[in-house]
Amino acid sequence: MPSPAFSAVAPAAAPASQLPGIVELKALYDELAQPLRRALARLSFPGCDVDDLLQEVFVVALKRPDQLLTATSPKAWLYGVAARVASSARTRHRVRTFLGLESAAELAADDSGGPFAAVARTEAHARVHRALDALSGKRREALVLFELEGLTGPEISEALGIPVKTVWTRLHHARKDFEQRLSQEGRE
Amino acid sequence: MSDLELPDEDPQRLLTLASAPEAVHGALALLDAAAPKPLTPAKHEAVFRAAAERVHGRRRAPRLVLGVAFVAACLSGVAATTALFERMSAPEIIAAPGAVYTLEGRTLTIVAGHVEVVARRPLTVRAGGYDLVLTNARAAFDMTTQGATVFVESGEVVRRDAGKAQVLYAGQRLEPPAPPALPEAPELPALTPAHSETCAAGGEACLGALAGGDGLEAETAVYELGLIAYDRGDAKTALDRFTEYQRRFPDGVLAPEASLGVMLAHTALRDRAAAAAEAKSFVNRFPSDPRVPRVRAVAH
Repeated sequence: MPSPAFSAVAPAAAPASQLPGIVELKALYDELAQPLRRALARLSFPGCDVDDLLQEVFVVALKRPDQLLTATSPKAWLYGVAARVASSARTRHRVRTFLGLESAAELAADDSGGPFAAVARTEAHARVHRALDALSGKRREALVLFELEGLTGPEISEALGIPVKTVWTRLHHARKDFEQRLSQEGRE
Repeated sequence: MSDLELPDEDPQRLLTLASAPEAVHGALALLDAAAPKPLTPAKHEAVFRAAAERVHGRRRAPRLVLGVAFVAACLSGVAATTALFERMSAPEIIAAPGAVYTLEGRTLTIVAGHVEVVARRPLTVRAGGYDLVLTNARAAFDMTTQGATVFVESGEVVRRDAGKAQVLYAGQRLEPPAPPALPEAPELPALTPAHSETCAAGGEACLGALAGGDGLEAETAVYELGLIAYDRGDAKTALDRFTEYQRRFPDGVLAPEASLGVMLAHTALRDRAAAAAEAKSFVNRFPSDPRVPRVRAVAH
């Protein structure tokens, strides 16, 4: 039967398994899911559902496989997306807390599945956590990606889209702020 | 995190870490130890599958429907609010019996009679050549054959006239413009006396008797009577006589003079339109008359 010249019916969408680059992305996911999840937990807020954030990161990746797979460092690219996703989550959390839709104290005390739940059980860990929360978003990203996630300066530079020198500057100020905040927490 | 774990390929890292205070290292070590529990294999697969399904578009349809519904709700809300606003801000029109007016959008045209208008939002009112804008004002309009009279009862009314704006305040009145003054009568040819041979000059009674007859003498007498009345300043009688001549002797020998007489009488009575009409008639009927160029000035 000859195919019609025009059809008003949209063609059926390809199944999810046929998305472009999905095999390569799945391999990256298998390799980096756990470190990214850990970074998301450190970059977001207590009680945040990091699995949701991880899903967001890979939604972005699946939408732009060409960007990810041609990046100098796919790992840095994914960390950059994770930093932005976590930043958005923090903003939403602040707004919801301001509007009274979420209680920060309740989330912090919720040890049913939160990433910092175990840490928050002790006062020392809670102080460290509050000091980290007190950092500005940009400095926090530099501190977490460098000190805790072990990314190199050039990798952070690529992930955040900033010059390497800026990475070091942010890291320097992040440490000073973090130390200052820790000492304040110690006095309180 | 201890110094032993530092990667060798990043000397900057060694430099920066060397200056990190001990307190910071200790705190970071606490955070490092607080990594979230690893994902179970089933959860690990579920997260990626959910991401792939979201990209595939399964969740887009509901969002699209919700988005369209939201936009539609917003638009209908805006439309309802606008309609309510329009209804609340419609002008209040109080028309006396017999008044004629039309309202189209925000423009009110008053044709006849007495109309009072209360406008909360800007309303354009056209009446008798006036172009007015009422904003939060009340005004009364009277349309007569002379034109429109406008009285501003409250608020302010802006009158637009040839690109200029004049503000009328409460208590002010606009009267219909005076009719344009008649131009000075052009220098018209003097009427030619017929010089009735039967009656002495000024003998109106004799002329009256002759006018009742017929023939050339009656024709001349009627014209003479009109001329005498005009010279006396009685334009009304002169007009009657000249008109009578035209009626009785449309092709008489003095028809051009009678037409000029009608024109002059109308001019004296300040009826410019009738004078102009008669002048046109003269030009059409007697195009070769040597007085046409001067008469034409009256026609225009």
